[in-house]
Amino acid sequence: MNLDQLIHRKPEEKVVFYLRRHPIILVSQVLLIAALGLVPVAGYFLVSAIWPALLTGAVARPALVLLASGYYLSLWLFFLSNFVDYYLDAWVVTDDRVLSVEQRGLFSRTVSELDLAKIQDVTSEVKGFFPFLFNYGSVFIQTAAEVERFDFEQVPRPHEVRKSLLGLVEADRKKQGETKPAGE
Amino acid sequence: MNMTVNFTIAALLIPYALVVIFVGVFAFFNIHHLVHYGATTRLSYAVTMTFLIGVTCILFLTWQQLGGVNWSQAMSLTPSLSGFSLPDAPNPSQP
Repeated sequence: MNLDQLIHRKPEEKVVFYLRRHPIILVSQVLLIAALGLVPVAGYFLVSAIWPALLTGAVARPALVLLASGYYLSLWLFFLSNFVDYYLDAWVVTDDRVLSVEQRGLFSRTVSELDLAKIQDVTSEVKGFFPFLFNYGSVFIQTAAEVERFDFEQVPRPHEVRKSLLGLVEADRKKQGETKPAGE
Repeated sequence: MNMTVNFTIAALLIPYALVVIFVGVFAFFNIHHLVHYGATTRLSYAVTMTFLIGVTCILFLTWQQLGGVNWSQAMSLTPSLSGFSLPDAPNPSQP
């Protein structure tokens, strides 16, 4: 994704994290689609064993071919939509702010921005067998801003992300303290 | 009453065409999103190409499978309740 176009980076701002969901999420979706792709094949073998005449009928055969074709086209579209949804969801952490870019369906996109100084609390969570196995989970950011909570969903190494994020918040507070005029 | 609806099997192509149009429109919007938001990387190119090749293969195989079909052949739909019967009413004179 073109970062500069997305976040309008400030001159001295450095990108620390560029996070997406763990690739295993995409792999699991591909496996689901592959499993769904086997359904008509299993149906074909079942029908040919129980009712073979149906597959050779003058009307039934074109109807079944069209049905299978429509099913596979829809499944293929489901694959592309899942990929776009996965690929366009991203969380960017710079040394100054946190950005959340979320694609919700085909016609809705949310971009939220949060200043590091407004972060109050960061929680990471790895919950479940597969998240534990592949080390992915959620990072919840509690803020004092209008948007009260930022969620990084299914990101790799959530505990490390939390630690680094807290380090960045600390560094940002120090930096802001240094730049504040005396007496404030 | 038996009501029979007759039409040619070319009518089966109408719902199929709607599915193809639906897939085409949504695929266009998905690819448009990838390009519009600057997600033009090797992976997104590979997935888009895989998608387009897959769609071409599905449409080609469908066309091949339907090559010899006589689309002017008539088919009929007969909604019928002949397979169902109501239970006999109990006779009040019999114990």
